[in-house]
Amino acid sequence: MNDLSLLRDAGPEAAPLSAAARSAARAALLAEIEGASMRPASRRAVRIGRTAALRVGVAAVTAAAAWAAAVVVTGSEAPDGTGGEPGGLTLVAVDEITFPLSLDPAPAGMTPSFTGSAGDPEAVAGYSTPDGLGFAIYVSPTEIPRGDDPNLTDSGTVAVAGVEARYGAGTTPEICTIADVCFADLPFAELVWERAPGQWIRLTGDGAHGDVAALVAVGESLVDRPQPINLQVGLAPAGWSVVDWHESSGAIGVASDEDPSQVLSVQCMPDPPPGTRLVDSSVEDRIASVTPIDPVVPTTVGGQPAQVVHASDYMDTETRFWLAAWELPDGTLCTVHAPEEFTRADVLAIAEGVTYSP
Amino acid sequence: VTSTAVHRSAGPPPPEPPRLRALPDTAPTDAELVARSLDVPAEFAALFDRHATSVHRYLGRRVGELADDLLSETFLVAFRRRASYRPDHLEVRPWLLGIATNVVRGHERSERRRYRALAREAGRPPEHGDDPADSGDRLAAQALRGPLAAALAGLKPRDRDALLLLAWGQLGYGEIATVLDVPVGTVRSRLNRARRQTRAALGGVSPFDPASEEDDR
Repeated sequence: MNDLSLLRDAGPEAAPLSAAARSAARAALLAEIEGASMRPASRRAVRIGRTAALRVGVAAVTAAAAWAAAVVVTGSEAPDGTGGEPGGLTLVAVDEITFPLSLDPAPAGMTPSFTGSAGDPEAVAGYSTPDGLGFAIYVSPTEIPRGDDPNLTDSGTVAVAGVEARYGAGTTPEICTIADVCFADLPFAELVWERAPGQWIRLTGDGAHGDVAALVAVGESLVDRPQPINLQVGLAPAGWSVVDWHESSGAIGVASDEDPSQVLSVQCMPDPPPGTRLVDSSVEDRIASVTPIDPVVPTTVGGQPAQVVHASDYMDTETRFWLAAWELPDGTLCTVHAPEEFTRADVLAIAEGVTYSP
Repeated sequence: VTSTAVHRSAGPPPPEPPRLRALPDTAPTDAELVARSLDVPAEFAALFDRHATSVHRYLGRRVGELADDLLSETFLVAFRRRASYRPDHLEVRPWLLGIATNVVRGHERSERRRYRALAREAGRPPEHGDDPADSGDRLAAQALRGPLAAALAGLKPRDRDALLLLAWGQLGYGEIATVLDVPVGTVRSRLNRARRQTRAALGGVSPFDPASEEDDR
């Protein structure tokens, strides 16, 4: 055995790709594809080079988060009676997905984003400006180790609301955010402290928030007030649970408790950062991206024009599903992607229950 | 300096990879799907279906649960930059792993934290007693998990990128050079340094067979 064999056999292992994560990632890609589907890609060569270290900005928080023990489908039957449709599923209310803390005052000009998965002990929220910079808040019941970035140049302790916190700070030589904006010599900082017994906070920031004093101010504005995440699923089948939410991809995954491979995906994609999508997508584009088995049915969701179709994957005709698409008044495109076993009424009732409030 | 220029400057050009063209009624090659997606973007989705598991496994070994989100980011970046893909220099899978590596680079702090946590965890006594059925190799590998994770945490990020593209991505030296946009000589020096440091960190507990090292390319 040599060191490479050892790395393969005894190195850190990866958890299998879950159906929900696969579905969310695929849905995000399809949404991007839809946006480009009306116009061919530029054939201008774009170099993927040393400066292309694309970084998911702090808004696109990526560590798994969950204050999700309460995020289960436990409510009563849908009040509009959709659950009673012959052959349909019993739809029940879904508890609101929340992040346990808020910022008071809320940071001006910054967009929050939340990511998490059921059962994970950490909760994460990111706040970003349009260039992808900002700060992220990690909440955990156990101590969160401070990062050991090789670019760290300063460390020590500082008081946050009277509690001692460990800080680190430095400068990242080159970095690009999710908004595909690149920076050189970007300051970063982080703070770790136990805000309350059993509540550890880690704050990380870049740019204007890559400064210990700025992060202390953020830390001192934290209040014990759960805030709902932007995207919510109001209704889901009984016996199904929210498994994860990825607001950077605008998606929530809901899976059957009995068969987790059965996944219901709800997605609302906010406007992308300028320049990252070629054209806007539409309900028609989204529906046209799948292969219809039955005719597309025009309908409404939340009073907005919508379409729903029983369809198959264009690459895999054995994969059959329902797809509903509609636009919110601000132009955000939302979709519900559900297994074939659902009825059209189920899918539309679930769509009616979706809310998105960025 | 383009990646192509750097690659060419590193020495004689590598052997031309076989250029396959799909026969009628057979599935298109990866490269053909990328090319088609320039005019029909939806063609790109098939690449996700083919490579998502492989890319996710590479990401998962590096960043754990973050892999779910970084998988999405990797394919979004790949789609946006598909016009830059050069099939005559690189297969699609290494190209995707190169993008994944760049995406991971933005989370270097998380990656190192994960390795350190794994090292600490591996240092704890096992919950179950030794199973007599366990092979000696398996027990030896188990004993090395902690030191190995600690060794990975201690590597310079760019050395670690090269090492893990080789070990987990199973890329060749030339492919690593292309995706990292450095000369092959730089890849060699990074790998030499990374492997030397890894062996040193494992000390006398590693069952290395140095003779097999040259076979890893």
